[in-house]
Amino acid sequence: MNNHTHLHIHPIERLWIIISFSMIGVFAVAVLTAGFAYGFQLPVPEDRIVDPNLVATPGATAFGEPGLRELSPGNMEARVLAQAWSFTPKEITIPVGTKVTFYVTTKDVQHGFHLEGSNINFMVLPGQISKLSTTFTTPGTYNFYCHEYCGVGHQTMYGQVIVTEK
Amino acid sequence: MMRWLVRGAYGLVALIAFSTLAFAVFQPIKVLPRAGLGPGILLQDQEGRTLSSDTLRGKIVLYSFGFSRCETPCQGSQAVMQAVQRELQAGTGSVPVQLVTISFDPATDTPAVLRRMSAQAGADPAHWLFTTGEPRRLKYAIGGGFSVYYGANEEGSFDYDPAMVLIDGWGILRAEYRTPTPKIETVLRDVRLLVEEAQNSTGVARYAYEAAHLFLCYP
Amino acid sequence: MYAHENRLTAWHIGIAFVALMVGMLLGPLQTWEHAGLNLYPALRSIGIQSYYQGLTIHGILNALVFTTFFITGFLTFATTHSLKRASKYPWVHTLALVVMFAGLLITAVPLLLNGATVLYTFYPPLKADPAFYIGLTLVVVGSWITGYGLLFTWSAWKKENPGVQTPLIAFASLITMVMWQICTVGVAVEMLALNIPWSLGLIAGTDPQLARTLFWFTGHPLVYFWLLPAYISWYGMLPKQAGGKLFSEPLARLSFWLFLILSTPLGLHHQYVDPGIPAGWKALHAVLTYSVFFPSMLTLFNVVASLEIAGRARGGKGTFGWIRALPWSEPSFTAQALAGILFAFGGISGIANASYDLNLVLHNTAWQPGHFHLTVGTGVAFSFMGIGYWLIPKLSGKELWSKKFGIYQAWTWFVGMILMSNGLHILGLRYSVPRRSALGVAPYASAEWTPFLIESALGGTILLISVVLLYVNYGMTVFAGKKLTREIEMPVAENAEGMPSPRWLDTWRPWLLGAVALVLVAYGPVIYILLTRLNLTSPGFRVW
Repeated sequence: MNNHTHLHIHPIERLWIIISFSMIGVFAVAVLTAGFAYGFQLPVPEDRIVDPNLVATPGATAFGEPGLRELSPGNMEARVLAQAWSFTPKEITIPVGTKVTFYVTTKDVQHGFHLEGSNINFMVLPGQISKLSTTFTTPGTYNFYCHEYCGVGHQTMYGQVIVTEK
Repeated sequence: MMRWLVRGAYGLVALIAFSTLAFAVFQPIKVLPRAGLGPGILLQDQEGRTLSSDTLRGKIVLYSFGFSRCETPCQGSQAVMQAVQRELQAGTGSVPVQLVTISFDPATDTPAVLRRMSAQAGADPAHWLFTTGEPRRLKYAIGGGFSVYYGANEEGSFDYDPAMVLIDGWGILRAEYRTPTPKIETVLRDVRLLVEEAQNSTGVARYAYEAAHLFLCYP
Repeated sequence: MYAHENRLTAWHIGIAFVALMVGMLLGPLQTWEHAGLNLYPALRSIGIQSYYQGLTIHGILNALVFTTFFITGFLTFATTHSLKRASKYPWVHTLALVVMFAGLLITAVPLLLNGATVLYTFYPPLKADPAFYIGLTLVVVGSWITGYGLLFTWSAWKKENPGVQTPLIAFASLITMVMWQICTVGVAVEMLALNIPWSLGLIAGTDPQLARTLFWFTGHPLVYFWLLPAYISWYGMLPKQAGGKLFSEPLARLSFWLFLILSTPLGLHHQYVDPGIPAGWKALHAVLTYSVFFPSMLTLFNVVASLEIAGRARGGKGTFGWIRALPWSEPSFTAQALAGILFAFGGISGIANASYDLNLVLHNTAWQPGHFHLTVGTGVAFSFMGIGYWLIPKLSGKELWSKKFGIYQAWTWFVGMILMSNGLHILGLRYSVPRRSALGVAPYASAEWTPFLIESALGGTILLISVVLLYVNYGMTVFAGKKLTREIEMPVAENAEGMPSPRWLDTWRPWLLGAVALVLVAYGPVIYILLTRLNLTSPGFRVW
């Protein structure tokens, strides 16, 4: 009968365990600090569940007339409607230094939205609104891609943000 | 001895697991989500008095937006304001609640016009103020701060996405009603929830309220 | 004594490797398409209609069919041989195989007829033929039955051997199966409550956010279901094959228990950028994901230390001299050792994925296939190929046809995978290149990507050579090999310490309760929140 309770650990292995634990701890603290104290935002529930079958109907939701509009100087919102296999609008022009908040939803299957040169990267799900903001500080053309498989035309689904000089 | 310790540990783990679940499922406390910090705002009311987000700290504020020539898009919010005012006149205890209607058309809506709007709406100046402000500041506060869109159109009037916003005593945005026809019951329920939270979340109960936020115990 | 188990394992492993062959042959086509050589039009004649149908078959066969069939076969073999006891109820295992094989056939029909081009994640509202969901469900049910069979055998063994500690290999196999039982609840509910009734038209709409959450409840522990059998080989068999002993058996047991506890409550790290999941729960799963890194760190130390014992026993001297002394001429050893090396890099790229906000840069970019071709595609699949180098001769009763081919196969896999995954990692990190996309015909493809697309295509080509070497060798062994003149035994590594593990590492209750409690805490409220906001409005779409 085995009544052994002590776990024998080799000294070097003990050191390895301490290093592993510390490393994981440092990673966790760093990442959560960046996420919650420095404000790297992840999409969170908008608390507005929509009906994907009606979302594109003009008048029913803000996605009925997708597009870009100015809320206040230097602050814009872009409502983008995804569907297989296009984004509406496909081209968004903003002056450099403007804060843009993207609201994206889909009227059919799941899509993705990843805007080059920014931290905007989220899933676009039927019935949910994805929202993140960014500010471009360098003029140029930035692609946004659909990054979730959405059918045979998936590879053609993209759009562009054109950041112009002030 | 050892056996009881082990049993105790199992019990503790089970207790934590089940109380977490029970809290999420039964939602003993309901709260409104904290959507973010409301904007700084500077307004003049119908008597020409200055009103700002700082002086409104400590009060729960329900904002509606409009302009004197506004018809259909503003009627929904006016009915809601009237209903909340009736409840306030009946008394909400120690927690002050302020109703504020902001006109984004200061060129037309002078204090005299605001007074007329107030009278037409049947507003009780003790609870409900009609205000406006400097156009640029208003644009930053309403458009940039509350993300409520409005803009002058070709007919000399305004395009406006009807909306109402509820701010708590810390200046945090707690609810938005982005519809031309907000439900009176929903807004009343939300105001009551904020009043309860402000009254009850002291001492240990504060942690229960924080837990309610973590578990998204939203109505 | 093991005639039934061996025959059964041979079937499992045979089906697994045939599936893998078909799946792997489709792989290089994807890298070539990305680099501009589009062979898909030529595949229409054999019934593959699009890049995405090929990609679906590649994913389903490699990641779901190959792994599940190999693992159920291998664990049946390993458990019975480790306990030195035949199955208590052989018919249970036969039933499991029949159910799994029936499931495979039912899945294959829509898959091959382009009725289920939904990729291996089958996210609704992509709507496949009902047979696809029903077949996959049967494969999982069959794998459960295998687990029950092993538990029956083990409990019979316990009665016959009171007070004896369960041997490591059987112990770890059982933990793997129990973990699989816990974590497949998610996908079972997704299939039975949402996908199957919805695809049959019994419910009109589905809730994509809920379906995703249930899928990833199973989807991440699924990778531990793939990985733990490789760990069983690395801990329990590889040290013996290398001529050494297991450095620390107690810590090996501890790491398997930690996997039982930590494998499931972390699936939300696949959903960091989902709109419908609150940030607090994502952060909790981020921390739990980091914690599951710990048992893998234990494994790294323990396995390397065991191999050092082996290298020194073989006469290796100096700080690194023991590495040269290892049996690099044995394909089974070489494949698994190289798999372990690349797996470590896969682990590192996985840490970046698990990082709550770093993931914003990497989510659904080419980095992801780069990552999982190092982990499941190499750490797991390459290890299984290495196991095949002794297990296939054992089961077929034939001598391995060519060790040299085996060594070439191992090194070509190693080099090919380095090139392919390196290219994909860079494309994802530096250029935000989306995954799962026919990049060769994408209008947004940039000239800057080309060198790395070519690098990964070159890797894919070398991997194809490796696949050919593997199957020629396996095929010649089984169909034209010399009859074995010796008995091949399952390699079983001894415990270097010579002491039994502490008793608390041999009791199920605390670990099992801990696992269930942690799942309830980490997932209960999230699922509840999603159920209160149930949004069954998505009709199905067939967009392929």
